[in-house]
Amino acid sequence: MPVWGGSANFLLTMRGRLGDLAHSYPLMFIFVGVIGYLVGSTQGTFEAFRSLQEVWHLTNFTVGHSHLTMYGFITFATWGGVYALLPLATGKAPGQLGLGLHFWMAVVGSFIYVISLSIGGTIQGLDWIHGLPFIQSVVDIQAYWVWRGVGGLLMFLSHIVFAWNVWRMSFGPSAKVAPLAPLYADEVTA
Amino acid sequence: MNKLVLIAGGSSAVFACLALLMGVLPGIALSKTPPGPGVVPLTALQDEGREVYVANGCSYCHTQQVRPLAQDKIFGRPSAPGDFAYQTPELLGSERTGPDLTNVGVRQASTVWQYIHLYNPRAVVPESIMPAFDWMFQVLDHAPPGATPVPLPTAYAPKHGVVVPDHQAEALVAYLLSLKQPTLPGVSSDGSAMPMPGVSSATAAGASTAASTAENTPASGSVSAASGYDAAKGKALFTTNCAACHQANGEGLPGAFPSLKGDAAVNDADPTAQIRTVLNGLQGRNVGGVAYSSPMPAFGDMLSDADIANIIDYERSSWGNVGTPVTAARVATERAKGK
Repeated sequence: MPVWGGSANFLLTMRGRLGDLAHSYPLMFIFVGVIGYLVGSTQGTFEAFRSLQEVWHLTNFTVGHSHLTMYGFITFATWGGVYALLPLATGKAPGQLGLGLHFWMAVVGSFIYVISLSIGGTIQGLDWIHGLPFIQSVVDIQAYWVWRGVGGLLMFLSHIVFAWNVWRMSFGPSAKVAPLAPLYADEVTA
Repeated sequence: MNKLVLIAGGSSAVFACLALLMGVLPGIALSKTPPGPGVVPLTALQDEGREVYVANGCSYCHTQQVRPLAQDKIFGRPSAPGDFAYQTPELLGSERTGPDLTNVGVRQASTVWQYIHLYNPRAVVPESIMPAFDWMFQVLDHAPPGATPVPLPTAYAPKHGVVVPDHQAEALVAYLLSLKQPTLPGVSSDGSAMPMPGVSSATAAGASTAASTAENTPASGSVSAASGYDAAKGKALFTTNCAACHQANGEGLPGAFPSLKGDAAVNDADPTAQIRTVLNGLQGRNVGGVAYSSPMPAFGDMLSDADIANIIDYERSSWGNVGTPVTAARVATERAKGK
């Protein structure tokens, strides 16, 4: 309930202003973070049911879940904060290309990662419940591990882009157009 | 400034309270848990092996906790607090990419198997994704006196020389073989109340699921359906309990594990020897003219009569074997005779 309350509070704050998302990558990072928080915490509540825990406990589902919460929530929210605050401190901005690459590779990568491990982990758990030989659960999840690798690679590449962006916001050359400017102008007139 | 003290002090106090409640107090309570009956401290070598286990991150993929659930019965009885008396910090693990190791010293007691598997897991379990720990072995021209080379299958052995475990591997295997669950009074080794029941209904349901999907279910051969033999279940039980050594094709590994294909006991009209071997294990016996050093574990405490009959019938009807089928009642008779 506190999760849904907190998420609803944030999302309702955004009401009528969802269009601003398109102008502000920091806001999009925060937005994904809130969605990650909402979905991950709700998922955690369901995992606490004993009937579901009997399937998912000790499987790769848990790994997907923890990435949804730690990565999809905390990391995205932190990135949003860094992209919003660091330019204010240094007066330098990262380029739209760098922001876009980081955001979309991280979003798509973590989505693939979480979905593949959720499905693969469920299959693992059901294999065990069905009393199949243990090695069958290893064979059955392998395709999902390949997808996890694809997602993980995208996430890793996005981190390199993040490092590049941080460098541009601190020591490197600033982008010509500060991305936050339009948003501020908008707020002044609102 | 006062606010800063309040914020920093307050959050520190909350953290300290939580650490006390969730870490310190349970730690004190657990340290007072007496060792379970039969739980003994590790020897110096086993303790060293435990360090190797930790250093190589074995617990990232292997748990050491058996849950009181039907699907965990293959790993032993449910873990009890006293089991961990000499295993601090406990290596419970949080994920089973590989199987649970709580009772691996009983399930896979063969030192030779452990060495082959550690050197290259694919040599004994073709589908395994476990990393090869071959750096814990030395490749030498000749085995030094007193050392026994690991009998690797040709496909996995180095082109020249012999493979000898180094000290790390010896310590690790000593630790793995020390992982044995002592029986708790009133609890059978499969975790249910005495006496030994059949396999859980979940396992039976799974086996029938496997029956409908298995593509390579062997033809029943000489075993008639009337004997209560379930080919798919027999195959699943064989894969879980026997294939690691005797291999899925029944041929074992030359020099390490005997072949069941064309084996005299498996094709003998009198199943006594085969039943007794599965029930009580076998060690240091000459099979088909070859002396095998590694012990076969006793499955009497791990499997029900019906399961053992299913496994034996699977072996007797697969890979060209033509043994007569056995029944669970026949297994029960041999079990009653004792060792």
